[in-house]
Amino acid sequence: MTIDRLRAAVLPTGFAVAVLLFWQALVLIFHYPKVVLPAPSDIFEALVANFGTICRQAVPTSRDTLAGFLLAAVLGVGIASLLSFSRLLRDAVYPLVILLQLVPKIAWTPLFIVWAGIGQPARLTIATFIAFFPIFISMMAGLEATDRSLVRLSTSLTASSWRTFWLVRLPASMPYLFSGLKIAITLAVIGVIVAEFISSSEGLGFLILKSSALLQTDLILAAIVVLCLLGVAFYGIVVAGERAILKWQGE
Amino acid sequence: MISAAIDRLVDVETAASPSGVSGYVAVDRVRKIFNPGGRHEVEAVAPTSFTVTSGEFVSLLGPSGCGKSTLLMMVAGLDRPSEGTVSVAGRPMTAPRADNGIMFQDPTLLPWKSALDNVLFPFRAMNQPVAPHIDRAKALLDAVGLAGFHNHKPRQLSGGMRQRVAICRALVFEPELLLMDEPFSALDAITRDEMNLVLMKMWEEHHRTAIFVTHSIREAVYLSDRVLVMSQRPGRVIADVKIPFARPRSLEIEESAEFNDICGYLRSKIQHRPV
Repeated sequence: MTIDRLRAAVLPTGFAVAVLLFWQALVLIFHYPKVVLPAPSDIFEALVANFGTICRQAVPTSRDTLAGFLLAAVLGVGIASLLSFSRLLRDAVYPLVILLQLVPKIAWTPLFIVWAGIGQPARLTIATFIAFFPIFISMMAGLEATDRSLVRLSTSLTASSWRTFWLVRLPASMPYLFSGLKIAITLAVIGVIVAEFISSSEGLGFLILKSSALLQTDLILAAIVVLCLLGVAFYGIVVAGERAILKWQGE
Repeated sequence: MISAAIDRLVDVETAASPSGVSGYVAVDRVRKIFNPGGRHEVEAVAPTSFTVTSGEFVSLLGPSGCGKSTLLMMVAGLDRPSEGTVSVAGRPMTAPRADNGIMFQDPTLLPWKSALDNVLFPFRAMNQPVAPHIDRAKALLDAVGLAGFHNHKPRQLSGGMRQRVAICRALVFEPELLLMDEPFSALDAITRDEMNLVLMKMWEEHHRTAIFVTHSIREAVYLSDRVLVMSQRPGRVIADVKIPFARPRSLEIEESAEFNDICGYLRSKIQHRPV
């Protein structure tokens, strides 16, 4: 490991430890009530004491996040690909999607609950809806940014538009797609948590809301810690996928 | 003066080489107007005609923006004439055909594919099996001096090496007609000379009909059997000049007085100056 990489690992870790120690000291010195500001040690205790509960609640949250993300990926890539085949369709649909995307997605949440009911379908719909836009828009950008001369070469070799899509446009848009997927996976987590806040009897969002009602601030923070770790793990999976694809593409 | 001997207007029928089929490529009163009727209407190609005999290497020489590339794209079937017809091998050109190999100004290689896979790309585009052609693709890459670079990605190759890959890709499926749109204009002068040698060697071995678009007079004279000079936009063929040098040609012919005479004559044609 080079000095630079060591530095990159040690500096943020050191800073995080310093913040936690400062926090702990603050609570020890000023005796804040645990309801207002639990010390890091309290949060750790709550995490250990409720580990089983938190893990059980993490399962539906993870499941809905990943399912919503995958559904959004299929829809986003699928619809963008479809639009790339027809100028007419693209010009009709694309501006509308962009307009829709300008509305804060969270505002639609109650509507989905009206439509899909209180339960998993609503949570999945919200996560999919919120994760769809970055994937669709980045895929669209990737397909449209494909080197025109490569497309012309393919056409000159009598390739069908489907083959040109498969051999040229799709691989060329991969870097764009992954930048969208990375945004989408974090948005999917947000979507699921918001949905759990308003329409769920399970999940980490539900646990946070319930703990808040019971004034168990340490448990709220313990759940958030786990949520952070989950978010990092999901993001890591997408980044690993990106690395694999770019390596295969020889970047 | 050599000019009288070599200056032949396009209307005058060109003598066919003994082996070739005359009129293999026939461009008949072709005209191209972009945005017809619009505010930005541009006549890119004025009604123009010429023919190319099979096996012949013909250059389209003209100033930038004279419509020579547009003309080539119409021969390739990638663009449609506004008026007139283009036919290749007796059939009108209405869409790209699998017997044309094309080279563009950029190498246009797939960045995520190796040199070898890029050479094999035409078969994938045509939805044909690739395996039977791998040996030929490798042999072509070796012939242009890229032995040992088969598995390199375009990013790892120099500009000249990338254009060599593009030459192999244009030749690998043994097209009858080779269409080249200023393929070396983005390269430096030394690399360009080198590429002309490579192209000459490959063309002499494979001996396809070739149309080569360029704005370099020396390049056109060095490579071609015939040079068609185009006017400023709207472009049309204003001179049809036969290049007499025997093949195989070495770069040394560029030093000869005759070579320079022909270049001078072509330059005067481009500038519309009486000789």
